[in-house]
Parts: sequence; C-alpha cells; structure tokens
Amino acid sequence: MGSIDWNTHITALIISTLLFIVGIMTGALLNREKISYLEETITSLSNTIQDVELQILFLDIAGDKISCEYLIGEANKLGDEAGRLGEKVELYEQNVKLEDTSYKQLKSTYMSILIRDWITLEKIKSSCAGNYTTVLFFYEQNSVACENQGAVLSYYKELLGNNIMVFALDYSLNHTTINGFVKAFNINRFPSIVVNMETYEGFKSSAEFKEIICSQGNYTICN
Amino acid sequence: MKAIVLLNLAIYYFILYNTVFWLLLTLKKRNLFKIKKEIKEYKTVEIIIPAYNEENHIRRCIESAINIDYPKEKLKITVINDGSTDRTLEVCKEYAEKGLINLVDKKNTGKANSMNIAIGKSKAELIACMDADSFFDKNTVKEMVGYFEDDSVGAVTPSMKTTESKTVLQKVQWVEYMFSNYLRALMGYLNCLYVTPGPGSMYRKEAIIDGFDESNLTEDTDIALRIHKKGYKIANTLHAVTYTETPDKLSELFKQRKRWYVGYFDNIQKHKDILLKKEFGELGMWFLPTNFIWLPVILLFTGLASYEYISNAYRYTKNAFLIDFNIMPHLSKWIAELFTLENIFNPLRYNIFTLFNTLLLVFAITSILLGVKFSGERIRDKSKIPNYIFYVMIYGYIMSTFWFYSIVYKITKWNREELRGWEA
Repeated sequence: MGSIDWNTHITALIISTLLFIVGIMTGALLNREKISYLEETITSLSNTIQDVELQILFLDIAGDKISCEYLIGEANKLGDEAGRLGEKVELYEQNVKLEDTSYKQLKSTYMSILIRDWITLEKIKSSCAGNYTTVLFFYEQNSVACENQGAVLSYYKELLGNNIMVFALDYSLNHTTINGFVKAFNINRFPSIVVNMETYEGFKSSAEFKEIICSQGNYTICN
Repeated sequence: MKAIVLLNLAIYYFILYNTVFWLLLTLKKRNLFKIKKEIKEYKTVEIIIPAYNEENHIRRCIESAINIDYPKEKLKITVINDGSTDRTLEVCKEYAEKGLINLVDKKNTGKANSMNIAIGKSKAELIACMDADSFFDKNTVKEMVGYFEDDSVGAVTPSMKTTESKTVLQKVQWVEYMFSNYLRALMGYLNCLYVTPGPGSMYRKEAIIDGFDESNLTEDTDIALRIHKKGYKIANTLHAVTYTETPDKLSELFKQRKRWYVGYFDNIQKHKDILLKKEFGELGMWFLPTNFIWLPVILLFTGLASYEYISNAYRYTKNAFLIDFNIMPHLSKWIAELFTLENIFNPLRYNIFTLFNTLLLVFAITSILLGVKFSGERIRDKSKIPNYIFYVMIYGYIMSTFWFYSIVYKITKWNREELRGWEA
C-alpha cells in the first residue's frame, strides 16, 4: 500500500499559509504606506497653495511690494507640483489591487486641492497677465473616451510644460464643488474640457485640441 | 474586492503550497540526491533499441550501449530496425556482423510493437529501453541495476540531459530537463513517477511482461501507471545519465508536446481508477489529483498575466495612436526617470502581487538552480543565465499554450492518428 508523507504535507500547509498571511498583511501595510505617501504629497501641495494664496492677498493690499514676475514663478512651481502629484495618483490607481476605503476620501481631498490650485492660478493669471492656459478636464471612471482624452492632454502637457495647466476632475466621486462646476460650465457629457473658462464637450482629438489651445495663446506648436 | 483579485490570490496560495512542499521535501531528504544503490548481484540486462529512420543517430546510440560499464556476459544489446527506409539497417548490420549487437529487422509496425517483440523474446531479468536518437553514459546501467535489489521496484528512471544545445529553444529545454530531473528524484522518493521515459528507463521484466500498449500515444506513461497498479514502485536515480535530442524548432516542440500532453490526458482517463485511491499513496491521493488543479492554475496564471501584458500593450499603442505616434517627449521622460532611485523605491509602483511574484520568482530560481546542481552541472556557469531567465519568464507561457491546445484537442478530437509519430 502506498504511503503519504503527511508530515511534509502538513508542514508545507502551515508554512505556505503563514507566508500567505504575511504576504497579505505586508500588502495591506504597503497600501497604507502608499496612502500616507499620497497624503503627504497632497498636504505639501495644499501648503504651497495656501502660501501662494496669501501672497495674492498681499498683492491686493500692497501691489508695489511684490512683483508679478515672482508670482508667475510661484504659479509655475504650483503647476509642476500639481503635475507630479497627478502622476502619483495615476500610478497609484494603475497599481492598486486591494482597494483601500480611505482612498476615496483622499481622492476627494485631492480634487479640492486641485480646484484651489486652479482658482489660485486663475487669480495670478488675471492679476499678472500670466501667459499660461488653464484646462479643467472633467472625466468619469470606466470611460474609454475619458481615458483617451487623458492621453491627449498628457501629451500636450509634456509638450508645452507650464504653458498649459491641466486639472483632471473626477465626476464619479460625487464631489460637491465638481458637481457645481459641471452645472456652472453647462457640461452634459464626459469627457469635457474647460479651456480658459470656455467649455468644449466630448472627446477632442489631438488635432482638435491643438486648434483649441492655439486659439488661446501663441505657443511654439502653433507655428 | 474584485473577483479577479481573489482568484489571483487563490492561485498564488496553491502555487505557494506546492512550491513549499517540494522545497521542504528537498531539505528533509537532501541525502536522497547522493544515494547510490549498491549491486549485490549483477542481473542480466537486455538493452532494447527500436529504430526507425535514425541513420544520423543510431551509431552514437549503439556505441554508447557497447561501451557501457557492465559485465559483458550479463548484457545483451538488441536493435530492432522497424522497417527504416534510410541507411539505419546498414549501420546496424556493421555492428551485428561483428557480434556486438543482436539485430532484428522487421516491417514497420511502430515503436511499441517493436519493443513488445523484443520483450517477448528476451530472457533477461531487466529490460532497458533506449530511443535511437538518445545515448547512454558509461555508468548508466550500473547505477540503475542496484535499485532492483529491492523486489518491490518495478522500474527505474534515469536522469536525462539534452545533447548539444544549438538554438535558444534547445538551451531553454536544457533548463527544463535539469528541473525535471530534480523533480523526478523527489517524485521517485514519493513513488509518484507517472512516466518512464523512453531514453534509458529500465524495467523488471516481470513488471512489463504484458508489454507496451501499442495503441497508446504515450506508451511510457501508460506502462508506468500499469506498473503502479501491479503494486511495484518506480524509482529514480540522478546518477544514471542518458542524453537525448530535443526539438530545435518551435513547430517541432509543439508537435512533440501535443503528443505528450494529449497522451497524458488519454492515460489519466484510462487509469482514472488510480485517482483518490489510498493504495496508490501520493500518486493517487495527491500528485495526480492536484495535476487537475495545476492545469487550470497554470492556464489562469499565465492567462491573467498575458491579459495584463496585452491590455497594457493595447493601451500604450492606443495612446500612441491618439497622439499621432509623437511618443518622443513621453518616452524620453520615461527613460530619464526609469532608473532613478526615487522611481525604483516609489511605493506606488508596487502592490500585493509584486510581493507574491517576487516570492515565487525566488522559489522558481532556487528550484532551477537545485535542479542544475543535483543533475551534476555547474550552477555558476554565467553563460546559462539568459536561459534561466527565458525559462522563468517566457517558457511557461509557451508550455501553457501547448497545454491549452492539448486540452481543447482532447475534448474535441478523437482521432489520435495525426498525433502519432515514431519519435520519442
């Protein structure tokens, strides 16, 4: 009669179960670490925005003490920081396997920060005649057209750097301010973009977007 | 949590358990790989070499058999020319005329029938089979005969190595054979070897007196399972080495594996009475039943990974298309950031699957290196590193495709004639 090496089977079962549990726990810890990392980056951006907001207020009361050149420099920094944060959020979403419930809250905070960033940049633009174009990109989850629009906008961001400031706003989050913006800019479908306060609904191809952006400013790609 | 994540985790657990089991067994039975069985009594051995159109290899095979270190009066070499249409018969005659081999010339009836004719005529206690395109090491027979001192051993399988590897595919198969040798040594210990390969397996004659199944696609699997059913054990030794040819083209490999895998399924169906029977020990209770889980696991694992690769490739291509393939700004930024420490240690880049994949990769590399070591090859040979990488990263996908095709073939087609080949 054939024998079975129960001893090895049971030991293997115990070891593999332990390894599996350790793996799951490490995965969960890693997820927490990722969330904290994003939180830190969002807080850092929030602090920078707050700092720039104060400087804008200072510009209102003592315009001769602070130069527009300086504020536009700050706006560029804000644009860079927001861009890097956007890449991090995208990377997180691409690699997430075990969803963390706290991420939805974090993303909502991130959206609020983006909106504050956009408002701040718009203020600097109007006060100091900044030559950058702001783009609000409204998208929703699981939409191929929105993904495609994201790819087109990323390409132009790479190409134009801080001449174009893109703010990707997720409508699926049911975020109060985003919902308000959707109404205010009269958006009825996704994706939609708002370029310097003007609304363009539906997917805009690379050529269409180029046309839109060139109508707003004289950039190198427009020649 | 998405169902697909749960499925992936279940797959990881299953693979983890199996890998830990084999590594644990290796650790517990590390002397197993050194064991040599002493010969108390030299038994009579007949080497049977069936040959069909093997004019390029038969001389090498016969020479290796003649040069085997074993008492000549106890060793007989029989070559069966199975109606070859090339110069095989002429080459064999050279040796037969010198009295070095016993030559049987007959009409073409297939390998299994050729073997059966030779077994029927043989008076030896032990029968060693050898494919004509393979050859023996000098000590192969001596290393195997000792195992038959134990009356319960019905067959012994050798360690198989590949002959000179010219193509990348052959080099990767070399790794596969090394890994298989290691696994077979452990399976031999657990008495769950389910195949006695054509190149060099040795049988106790009474264990195979009823011969090979001539209608079977993989008669070496069928005979192994029948030996188990007769209550014999099948042992394995790493010290007896045989060398075999491997396919050099993917199409040839596919043809070979299709026959092996469909043959395997046919034999599991034929011998389903072994499954979940306590008297067959690890073979019936664990090894064969878990093979039913292994197959979907391998297919799902490679399938899910392939899906991820393909969907990423599709996304990148689609995005490139959307920007009229002006990918240079993106690409140059990506390359510039690729090897920066910030990028490598960015926690956002990793997830739970990265952890399990890394763990399994470590286990896979360990198992391969153990296979190379126990097969008596140098593990520090740096020229083999690309072969290991290819084996771990790509070969599994190729084999999964073959397995998948074979399952579909098994389910949808009943005609086995188109798969039947003379080759091993």
